[in-house]
Amino acid sequence: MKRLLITLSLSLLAVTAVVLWRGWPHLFPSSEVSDLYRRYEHNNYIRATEIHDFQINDTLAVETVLLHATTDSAWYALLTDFGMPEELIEMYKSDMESFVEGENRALLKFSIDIKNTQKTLPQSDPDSRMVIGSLGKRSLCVFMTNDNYLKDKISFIKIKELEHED
Amino acid sequence: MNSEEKIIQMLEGSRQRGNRATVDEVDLLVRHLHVSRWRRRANRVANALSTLVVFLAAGLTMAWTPIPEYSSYKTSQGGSTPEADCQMLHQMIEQK
Repeated sequence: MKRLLITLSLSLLAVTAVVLWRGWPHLFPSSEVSDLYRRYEHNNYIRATEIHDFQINDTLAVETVLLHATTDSAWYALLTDFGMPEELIEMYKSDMESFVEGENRALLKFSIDIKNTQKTLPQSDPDSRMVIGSLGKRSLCVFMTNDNYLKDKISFIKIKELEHED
Repeated sequence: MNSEEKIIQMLEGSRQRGNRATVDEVDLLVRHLHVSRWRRRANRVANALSTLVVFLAAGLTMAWTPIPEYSSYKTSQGGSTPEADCQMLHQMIEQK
């Protein structure tokens, strides 16, 4: 009887520990936000969203900042902030439909310098952050990680999707 | 009186008799040792089973607890929900 009670108590303890370990970030969410979020926090035409531990798949989680422009002009300003060349923006403005063909396709993927978002950097640089943009949705998603393994995995998911389509 | 107490009494008695035990006393000692051996084996099995139950409880909880899609969400304006934003992010990652 004593052993049964000890076993039950230990099992209960183990279950509680697992539930707490899994739910800890949810129970006590981080209140920290990135400088990138703060930059657009008070912009009325750009909705900034910070998601901690965004689950890309069963094994990958990454901090992401989502920037969504609510107007075309705010979107072009956002693209300029992220170092998009003026010529490309003009080309995009003049022939928007061809860029957005299909179902809101995300056509942009590049790496920026987190200290100066107008500057692009190679993906392997420790200061670089991967950006994926959807022209149709007027949104940029910045993955706030300098972990090359994670960046490669995210890229790989996209490549795999392309392979499936071919 | 339990068997351990009987054995202690027996040992004290045999010491008083110059460390000589009777046949009944030796028989009692042998039976006690035999029972103890089975009790030790049963204890070992019960310990292993208890450990297994604890690990099973932890493992099954781990398998059945869903991984949350995000740990914290903060947005500067309304107009969207965490679920909608997460879905959009998935679409952006998975579309070409």
